[in-house]
Amino acid sequence: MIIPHIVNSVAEEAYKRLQQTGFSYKGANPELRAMLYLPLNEIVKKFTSKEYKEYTADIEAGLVLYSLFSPDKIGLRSASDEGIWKYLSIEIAPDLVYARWGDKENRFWKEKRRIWLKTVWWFIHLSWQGDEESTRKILQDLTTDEIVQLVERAGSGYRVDLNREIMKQLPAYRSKSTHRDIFRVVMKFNTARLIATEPSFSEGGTVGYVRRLFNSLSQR
Amino acid sequence: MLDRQAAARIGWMPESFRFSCSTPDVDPESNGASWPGPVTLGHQGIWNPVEHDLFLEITMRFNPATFFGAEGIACSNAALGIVLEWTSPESSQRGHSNIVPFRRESGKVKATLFLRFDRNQFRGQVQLSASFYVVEPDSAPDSAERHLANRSGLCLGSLGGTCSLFFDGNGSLFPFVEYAGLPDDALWRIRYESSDPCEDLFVADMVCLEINNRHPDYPAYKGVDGQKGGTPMERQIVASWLTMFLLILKERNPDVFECLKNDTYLKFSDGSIAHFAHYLLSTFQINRENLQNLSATLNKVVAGQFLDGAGTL
Repeated sequence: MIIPHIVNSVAEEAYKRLQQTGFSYKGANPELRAMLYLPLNEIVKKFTSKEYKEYTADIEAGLVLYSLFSPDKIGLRSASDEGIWKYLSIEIAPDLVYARWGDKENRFWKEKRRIWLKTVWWFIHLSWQGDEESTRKILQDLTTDEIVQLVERAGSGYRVDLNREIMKQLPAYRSKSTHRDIFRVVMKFNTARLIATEPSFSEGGTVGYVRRLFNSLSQR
Repeated sequence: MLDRQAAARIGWMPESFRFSCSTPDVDPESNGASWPGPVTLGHQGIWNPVEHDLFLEITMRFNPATFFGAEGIACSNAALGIVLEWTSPESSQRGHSNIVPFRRESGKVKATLFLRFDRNQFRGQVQLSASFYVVEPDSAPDSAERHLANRSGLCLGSLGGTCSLFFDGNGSLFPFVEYAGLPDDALWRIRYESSDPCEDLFVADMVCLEINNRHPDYPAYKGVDGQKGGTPMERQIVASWLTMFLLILKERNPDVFECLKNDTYLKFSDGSIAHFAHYLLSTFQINRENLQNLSATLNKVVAGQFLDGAGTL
């Protein structure tokens, strides 16, 4: 599957036009629009009618996107190209992004780590537990803050296996922790430790590393 | 930790550097791979990162005897390992090869490290570096060795130099892009797409020097293929482009530019536009007092770099 790519100067102009025309879809790539619109609109409708919390809408949107644009279908080469997410946000689903975020250009194109469709796709990718049901299960009861903490810590590139293990172990530690923001603290610890440690070579491999990471926090 | 002297003492050298691909008759042959150094993949136009995977096999030899003991970097009875690590901010991924373990009694080590890059997973550049880790700690370190790193998974440092694999582009570390404009269009122009220079990478998608290869002066710019040091016109264009680049950065992100100009703390990502600007301004001691001085020192720097045959900044 090939998704077109747009650069910032094109995105900026297109966004100005969207602001003037009320963020409506203009007819680009009808097949792609048809593929995205139905499932995403269902989520957005529930969100705008307050049936969903913001976080639930983000997770459900992420799961839809991850199913439509799975790594097997588009490849991580495309998924890491912010130009395709700008295209999807501005040309294919502007009304849907607007329904979630309103007139916030950072969420459409301007800040690469804040583009909504890209952010929720990568959050699901970094949390993926092998299938949709298992992934949804570990993500329930989290908040939008977890999305930010995970996706915005890319550094020189994500360690996908490590992130998935942290997300896998998080619910158990979160339920018994007295720290309200356990995930944020663990991610900060992790960032500091990774400067001098490779989790997969440490005792117990990545699983042992993550267990020690959470335990070190609960002992504080 | 491993420092430059310690790395030099082990006398390491890459013995072989071999690329291959699982598709029959497709050779991702690079432009003379060496370590360290940029490696352009698929320059013969057959291998491409969308359709083809890539295997890399590097064999290294070294004698790690000086690593062990109180004067070294690891306890006498620890097991260490060498690994090839890769990072790709453009692909949002990082990883590592197999680890080859060794001990003090291993003597000279021959380590063969393998990496596999699946098709359609990578874009832009991938940076390689070779690092040493503690694989198994010394269970009873000597009292004189208590200061040494002794926990499995701890990084002891990297061998000097990194190697850039170019999955896309022509292998230039500088973002040159040729396009077919009209003969009366400008010979060159700057494209600056970044909205967040502290995060956006210094790559052609974000900022580049576009050369119009249909301009009548294009042959004078290009010169004879392989001309060492570039043509005088090329040097002038690059110097002017760098001046423009810094001016646009100053105009669009004055707060970022002020931090860079005054060398005050600024948080930026590795490989970002701000990182490049910081490197440019600090490494080459660019005079930032006013536009005349800025332009003059950039001209001097670019001339020096090209004449040295480096061709890159």
